Amino acid sequence: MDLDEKQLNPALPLPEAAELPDPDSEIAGGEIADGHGAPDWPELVMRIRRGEESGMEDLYRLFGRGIRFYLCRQLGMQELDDKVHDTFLIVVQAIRRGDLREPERLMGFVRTVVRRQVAAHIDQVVHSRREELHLDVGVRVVDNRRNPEQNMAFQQKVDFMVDVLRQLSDRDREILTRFYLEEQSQEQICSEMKLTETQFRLLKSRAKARFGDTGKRKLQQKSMTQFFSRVSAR
Amino acid sequence: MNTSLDRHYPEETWENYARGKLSEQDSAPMEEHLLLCPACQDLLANVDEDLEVAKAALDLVNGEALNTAQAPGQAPVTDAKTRRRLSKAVGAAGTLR
Repeated sequence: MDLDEKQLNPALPLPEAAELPDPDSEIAGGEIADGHGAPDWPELVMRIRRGEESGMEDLYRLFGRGIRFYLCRQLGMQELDDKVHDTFLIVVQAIRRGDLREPERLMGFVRTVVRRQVAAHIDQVVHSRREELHLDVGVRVVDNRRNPEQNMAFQQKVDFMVDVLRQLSDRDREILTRFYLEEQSQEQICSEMKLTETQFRLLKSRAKARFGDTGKRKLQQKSMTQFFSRVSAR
Repeated sequence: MNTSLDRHYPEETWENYARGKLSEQDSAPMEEHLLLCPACQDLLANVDEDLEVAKAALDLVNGEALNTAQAPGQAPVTDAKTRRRLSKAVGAAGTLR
């Protein structure tokens, strides 16, 4: 594909995701994640405006993983590649049209585009669900974020956590229930249950540590059982 | 609040973000950082999962406690919302023991 020709014409589509560089690979601007400072945003914006291939590549390398992560977290895996691609298309076209007046605010601009994409998608889903509900009363929300293996791993973690919670006192469990289920703030819990911030933090970290220990022990037991069953099967 | 790109946000801050406890003013720079930082993306993914695991496990354990505490012959409470509401009462009663 002739990238230069396409990049000069905002009406033409962006290259397919497979043709774009790997967002995890090393580039000059990619060092941002390692704590070595921010890239030169105005310079990057200028390259994109000029339709330079390197500008497109750097934009994708810098934001590709993050946009994918954000969209996946909010909307799930369904049609994720298309959504990421659409987002890049909007960002690049807006830059080329000159909509980004302050190039140093590129990060904020990308965030705004991604958030609008999420909001538009949610609106669309809500609308289509309303339409569907008129036809099918049994419509249900399906969680598409995990595959069966991930679901099994999640269930295992829940089981470990249940074991840990059973060992906690009623009071400690109430604190965690208020925090995780009732979604009360740390301040509210501390004030109503006469706890200091340190006590609250300690309880949470103790529960997490116990969860980690129980998980490790269970996994060890499991692998030993699997080992013995393999040995006895010989 | 962290506005630079080279400083990561701590787990507790991401936990508050994931629980929707931060203002737009606080979460905006975090989201900008998130779009560029794989380390914070991984951290937030872990926080999200920990929250989901904790919610699911607490729902189960509180449901058990509730069903144990209910009168014999009474149908078990299966509705998650009702269980949450009632489990709060059971938890509070537990602290009085």
